[in-house]
Amino acid sequence: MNLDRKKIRKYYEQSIKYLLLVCAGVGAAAVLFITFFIFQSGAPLFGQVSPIEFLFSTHWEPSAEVDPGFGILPFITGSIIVTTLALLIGVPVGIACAIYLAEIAKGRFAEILRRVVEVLAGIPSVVFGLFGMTVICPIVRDVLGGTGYNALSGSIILAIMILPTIISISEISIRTVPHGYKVASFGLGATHWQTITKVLLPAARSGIIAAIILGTGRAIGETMAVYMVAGNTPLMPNFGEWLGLTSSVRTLTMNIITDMSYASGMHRTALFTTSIVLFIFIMTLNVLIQFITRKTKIHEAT
Amino acid sequence: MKKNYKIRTEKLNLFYGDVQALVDINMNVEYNRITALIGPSGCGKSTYLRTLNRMNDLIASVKIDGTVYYDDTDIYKDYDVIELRKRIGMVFQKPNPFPMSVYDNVAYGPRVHGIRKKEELDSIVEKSIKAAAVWDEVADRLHQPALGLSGGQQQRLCIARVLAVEPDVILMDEPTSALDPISTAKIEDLLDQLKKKYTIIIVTHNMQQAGRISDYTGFFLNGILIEMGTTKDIFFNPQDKRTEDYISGRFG
Amino acid sequence: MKQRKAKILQYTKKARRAQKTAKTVLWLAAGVTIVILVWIIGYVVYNGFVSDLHREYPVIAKGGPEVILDWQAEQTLVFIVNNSVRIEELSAQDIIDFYCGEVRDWVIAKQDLKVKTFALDMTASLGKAFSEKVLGKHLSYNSNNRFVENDEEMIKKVAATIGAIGFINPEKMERARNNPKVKIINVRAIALVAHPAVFEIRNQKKLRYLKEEDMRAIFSGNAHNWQEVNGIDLHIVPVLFNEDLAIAKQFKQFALGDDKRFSLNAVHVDNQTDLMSVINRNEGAVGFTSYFYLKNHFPDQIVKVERREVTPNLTLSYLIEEPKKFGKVGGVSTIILNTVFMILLTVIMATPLGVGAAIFFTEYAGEGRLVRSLRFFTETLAGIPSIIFGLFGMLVFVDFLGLKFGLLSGTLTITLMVLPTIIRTAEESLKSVPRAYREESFALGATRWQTVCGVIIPTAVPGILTGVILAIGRAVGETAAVILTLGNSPTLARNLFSSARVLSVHLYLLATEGISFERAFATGTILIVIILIVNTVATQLIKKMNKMHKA
Repeated sequence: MNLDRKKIRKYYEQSIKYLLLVCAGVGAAAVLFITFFIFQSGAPLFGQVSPIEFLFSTHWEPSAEVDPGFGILPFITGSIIVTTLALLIGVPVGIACAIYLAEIAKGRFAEILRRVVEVLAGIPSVVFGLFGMTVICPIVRDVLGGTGYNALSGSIILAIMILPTIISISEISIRTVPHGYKVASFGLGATHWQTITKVLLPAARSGIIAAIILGTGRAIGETMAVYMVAGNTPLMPNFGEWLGLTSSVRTLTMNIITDMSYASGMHRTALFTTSIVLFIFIMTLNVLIQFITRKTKIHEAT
Repeated sequence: MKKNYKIRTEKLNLFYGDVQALVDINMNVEYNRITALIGPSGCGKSTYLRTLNRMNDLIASVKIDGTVYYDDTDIYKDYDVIELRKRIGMVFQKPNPFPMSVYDNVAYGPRVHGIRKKEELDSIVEKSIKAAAVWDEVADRLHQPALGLSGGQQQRLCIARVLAVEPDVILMDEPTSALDPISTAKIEDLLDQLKKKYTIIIVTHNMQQAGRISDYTGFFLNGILIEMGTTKDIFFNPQDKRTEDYISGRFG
Repeated sequence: MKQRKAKILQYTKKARRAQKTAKTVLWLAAGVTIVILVWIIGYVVYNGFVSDLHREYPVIAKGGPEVILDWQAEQTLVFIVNNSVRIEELSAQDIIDFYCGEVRDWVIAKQDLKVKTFALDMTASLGKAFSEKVLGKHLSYNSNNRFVENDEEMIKKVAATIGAIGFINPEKMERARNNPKVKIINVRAIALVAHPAVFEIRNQKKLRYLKEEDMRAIFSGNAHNWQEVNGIDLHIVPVLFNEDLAIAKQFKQFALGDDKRFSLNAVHVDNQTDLMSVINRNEGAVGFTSYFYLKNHFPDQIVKVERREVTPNLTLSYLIEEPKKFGKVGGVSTIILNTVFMILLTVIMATPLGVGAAIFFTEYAGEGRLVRSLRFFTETLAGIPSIIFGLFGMLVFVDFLGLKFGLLSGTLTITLMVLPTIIRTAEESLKSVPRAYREESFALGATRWQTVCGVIIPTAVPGILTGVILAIGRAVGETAAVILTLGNSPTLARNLFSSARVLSVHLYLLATEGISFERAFATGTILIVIILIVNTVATQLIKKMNKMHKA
């Protein structure tokens, strides 16, 4: 009898373990399934269009009866412009905030800033989009002319949206620099600022790089907010004018969301193919992050 | 005729990875007596204690060699670990009540062993808390968080929690080292009461304590059981030079 | 030696200065971040609660209950509406739209309510005047219009019909006022008329509309050239009716305010014909008269006036009414409920999965290859953008498994999205449960699972909750994935497969389909309030957890 109970208990414990293993496996399964389905739905396009043409043609007319075009270069360019500018704006501000939080801010102000970063991270992207449409776009329009719905507006909104990511991860990586470094630097008569730039930042370098890469991923993957402010024109940006910043642009994500509701046939396939490109971008960044953070142990914070 | 012991270990060796922590321990523990294990820090006495209810199983790198008999049954072969821990309870160095009420703390053990009836639980809880001599102090706050009790009360509560599972051996790993003298005195009194019903093995740093409360004493050094005997013999008539040195304070 | 010391001293000074500047820059960056957040939240919430719009109307910004049909005050009338209509005033153009059937719903009141027009029949002199002067030659009553014989009947009918509007003689105002089921509304019926040259395009400039203060400046004589009021270079010639005419009195009251004087160098006229001939003879001339008259005779010469409309936006009725006409009118009640359903379902699915995974990683898993790769993929999941999740959900849940665009497809997708958040936070809090608790529990003979359920989870609850709450925040704000899997039907979801619009999607559609920015702001405000609540609760929980672990 006793033996039976023991056996039952053992099986029970074992089955719970496997049940939990299944829970833990869901995430991994999801990644594999996502990869599989995205590729399965998007790859057939290459039966008709060569990858080179897909990536480097600027001719996008997927639903045309005669001579349809499946070139997404304008969208890749759009994504790159918008993301780069967002990083140019967001990274300095974000890192400055992170230094401020980790090293300088004390008491109430630090508390407030930290709450602000948290709340900023939680604001839905459509609210950012709405703010962009009603505040940023009119300002850009008044300053630069045109409609205001362009790459610049999109970058500004994205810059705001990636701030929390950059701030919180950079802050943690600065904080996790061993205290001894700082003390040693002070001991040599360095000022606080010299210590920050010459000791803390270099020591926290990989964490900050991780923060920037994460921010990049977020910016490339963001859909709704840029969709609402960046104009959505499926043409190459006009680099002659303000380096394309005043051009209305369409990014990879926008291309997917714009047509998905009605596209069919090859057009629809081409949208999934677009998502393959996006997916590869993101996965590359993801693997980079994991590679960098493996050493520094900050992935818990991301 | 071979004498019966509550717990016997034969040629017990224990390794943490490549490091040997216990070397050929042979020890016999008498029924319903208090056995004290003494020795300098890192000598293996706590590690030894933890092999007796297989707490070391929780550490992946531990390898054990040799046999431990509990009532003449090999605990590493013929015993279910859960059953074993039910019979051989353990009290730790720092009082660690769970973050729940006093009542729930004591009832936790019975509950995990399948007792669900409220009346039964009530009586077990009351009996155990009384046996742990802390009833007068907590009777009116059974349903308040146990973390609100004083350190000494918490430790006796932890003892009550062990008693509630109705073990017949209690292992104590320096149960008073984190407590004030008054609480320590109370626990020592309690041990004297408990030994009527339970076999107790206690690890202690405090030699006076070992001398006061135990019937038998074992002295460990560098993972080796140097000497084992009645407390009187160990303290006043040690056979080994090293025991004598330690007792007289030369090891600090 | 001395020189070196001086050099060092100088260098130190320089370093100090650099430090000061650098700190100021950092402080500025921090300040900018705070300002941006306050700006975003403040802007959205302010516009969410207060609809502060500048709109252009072909009539002036104010009006009274007594409406003059022509320049003369021979015939005036008073408009009444049924109490069900949430509106206090209308413009003369609205009246025309209603009676001609151009507008059939009370959209202007943000209500989904049919407009029921009542008119006095032609035998009554007012009825005749109304049809001639308000509707004019080319227009006629809408087919649903109901005729009544006299004022008494009109009041009774309007009182009895939901969404009704009608008009009565001013003498019967008291009667209408005494009836609790009808209310008298103000009508803005005076309009500005100007010489055609005023509307010309010169030097790429054109007068689009007048601001209220500009209109006042023109008629009180403070502005002399149209350029001063954003027009072209043209001298202003104000033309006024004699001050003893009723229309002049009304204009003075509504357009200028009582304390203002009319311009001294204005041209005065005392009838409609003179007014129009003076205006049409003088370039830059501007005057005022009844909108109904102008609309019928000189519609191209009406000067639009800007009006600032400050009204409460997010009201209780917005929260509790159903959306109608794609959210243009009505409220968001069903959308809020849909959002709640989505959150509940997501929590029900994601919490056990996420916590289960976290328990596996912290309590069961070793450091094997399998576990490492599981962790790697879970981390990766966190970095995948929501639109990819959306596509995946669409491919797999909607198409492949045939769950249709609906609650189940949507929540399954979101569950995958929030899983990393829940796992990560739960893992953190499980890890922070003291090792001793585990040992104690094992020592009492508890199995691993009993230890997990009995001690570890109860201790880790605040942390687990934090993760769940953060996940709720993410789910509430998510749009791209939701749009591709959950559908956007604004009606209440009836089962797991019905398409359901949630707040974020509603906001997106309101803003991008050009339905209504005001409503988008109101919806955005609800979202922000939810996020702030989520955030505060999470922060409090984390604080509580930290305190507990310190104790």
